[in-house]
Amino acid sequence: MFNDARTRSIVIQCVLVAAVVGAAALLVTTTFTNLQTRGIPIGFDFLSMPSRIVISEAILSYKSRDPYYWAIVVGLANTVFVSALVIVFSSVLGLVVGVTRLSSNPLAAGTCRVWVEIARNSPPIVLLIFLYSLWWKVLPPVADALRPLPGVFASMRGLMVPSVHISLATAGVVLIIVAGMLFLAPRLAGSLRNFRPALNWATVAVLLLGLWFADATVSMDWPVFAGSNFQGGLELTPELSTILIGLTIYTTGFIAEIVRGGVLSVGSGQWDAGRSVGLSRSKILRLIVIPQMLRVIVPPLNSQYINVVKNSTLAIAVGYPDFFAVMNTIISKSSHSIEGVFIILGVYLALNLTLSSAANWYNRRIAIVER
Amino acid sequence: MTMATVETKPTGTRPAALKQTSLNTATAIEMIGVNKWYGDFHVLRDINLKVERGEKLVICGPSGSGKSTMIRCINRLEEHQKGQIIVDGTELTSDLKKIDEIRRDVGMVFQHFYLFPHLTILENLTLAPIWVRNMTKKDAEEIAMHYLKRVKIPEQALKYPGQLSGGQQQRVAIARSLCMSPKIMLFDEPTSALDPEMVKEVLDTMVSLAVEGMTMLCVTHEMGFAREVADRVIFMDAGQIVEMNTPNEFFKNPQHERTKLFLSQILH
Repeated sequence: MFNDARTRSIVIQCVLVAAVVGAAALLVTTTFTNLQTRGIPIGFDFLSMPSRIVISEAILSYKSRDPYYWAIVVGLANTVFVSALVIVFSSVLGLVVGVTRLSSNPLAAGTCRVWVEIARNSPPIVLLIFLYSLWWKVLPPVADALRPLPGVFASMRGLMVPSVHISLATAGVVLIIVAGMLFLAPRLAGSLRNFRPALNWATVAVLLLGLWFADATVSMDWPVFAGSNFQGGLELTPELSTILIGLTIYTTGFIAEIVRGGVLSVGSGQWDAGRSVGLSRSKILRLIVIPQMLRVIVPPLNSQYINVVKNSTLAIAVGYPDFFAVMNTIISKSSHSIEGVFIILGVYLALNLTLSSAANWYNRRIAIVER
Repeated sequence: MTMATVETKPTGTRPAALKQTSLNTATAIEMIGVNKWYGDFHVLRDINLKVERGEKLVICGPSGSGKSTMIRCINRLEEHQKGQIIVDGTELTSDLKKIDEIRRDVGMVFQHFYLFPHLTILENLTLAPIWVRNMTKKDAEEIAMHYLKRVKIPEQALKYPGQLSGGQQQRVAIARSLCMSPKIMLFDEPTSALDPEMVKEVLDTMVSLAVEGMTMLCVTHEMGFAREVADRVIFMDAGQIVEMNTPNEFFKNPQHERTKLFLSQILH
């Protein structure tokens, strides 16, 4: 009877499942009894207790009286903030660098090649620590801050940039209109591919009209040096600047290579066809090559985005309180290490699965129609 | 349309005095002493060719003889290194603006169609009119539908290239070129990648284009097509124009050994 393929496979699978469940049960019960005999509490009750930990900077408001769960949310917000910015910056730069590498201008192509090789061949943590050390080794004290661009100051205390103040109502209206245009316009116009300049101008017009109705207040706040420090503007600390710039430089190298591969994956015939109807190089790139390339590069691009989220944990090396750094502090303070590790694993899993499903959705949407 | 002057002198180099830009607007294309190399490989050797407006030329020859390279030089998909190419009174130089102008007026159909697979048939046809000729979408679609009817597949307008047969795709490619109202059409082995039963539908489209007086240069081995529509047949070998004659003379009375050998190989 054991020679029957079906029976045999069922038996083997049953044994395997029993072994896994048994091992897990053993692990859990042993942990529980050990923790209990040592008098260490287990469970997630601690989350609502005041944390009394310090988070040096946060994009959400945080006080050390706040409970643990809020500290976790604040750390998570920092991670999402850093990851999102790095993903946006490195995607844009990666597109530019990747396309420029294929340029016939040797200086431009060479510069981009150097960038790619440096970014791809250095360990990200080395890049971050090197950049972080630059703030003190290279940049002047705050009184003699460098001014690379109007309204931008760089000093040992970090970067000061102009900030845009938008009232909550304004932000809401912009969000609703943009979302509306993104989801409704394609259905009205037939498809997203038909976006023509006219429609884009219509978007801008509707947006401005909406803002006017919402009594929008948008104002620029320029940083000004006053006495001993800057007033106004947005302050990017050396820690935040380092993690943003460092991860962007690093990720751009990889995305540029993906983009270069993507452009090359579109056959030379497409260029010939575009040229033969009189389209310029930039229009061929924008209208013919990039739309086709997207289908090829979305899956590897998604891997890079997931890497950004994972690499953002390196913030701990330069002292920026991202989710992982905050969780480390919480674990050592509360001694709920097992729960903490589960939270860490769960959160990164959730973040990256969200990214993946978004990428998969997009990939299905733009798939080439075949017979 | 006038019957072409028969130029049997195959590769003769013109006297320097004659190498001047032709002001004769009856000339669509003029190639004077054109040479091209790929590295050390000499692909085109001293090509001299004058194509009158409305003329139909069929270019044949063994593979690697430079046929495709020659017609790809006419809209500068390939650069020539020596000699002059004058298209519609404009000489092809590295001047990008002139190149774009010439490309707008010279249509090209490729062996492998090269439709844009991410766009519908209609979008394939309207892309260049909208982005190069600055037409409105409505006007461009009107023209596109007109030419889709001409190539007899208006019902496929909203499908994607991947959903069409090879013959249909090639007809769309022809329509895509026609949407730019070209003065000259170049065909680079338009039927070589097609299943046999689809060759006729594409050739029929090309014949109807010829009947309307389009200036056409076709690289093809469809000798039936050559007999029916060509004013002149050109035989190329090893980068040279070996023989050029009316189809009648060309098939009945080939002058050169290489032409005879080639014809004996393709006409069974």
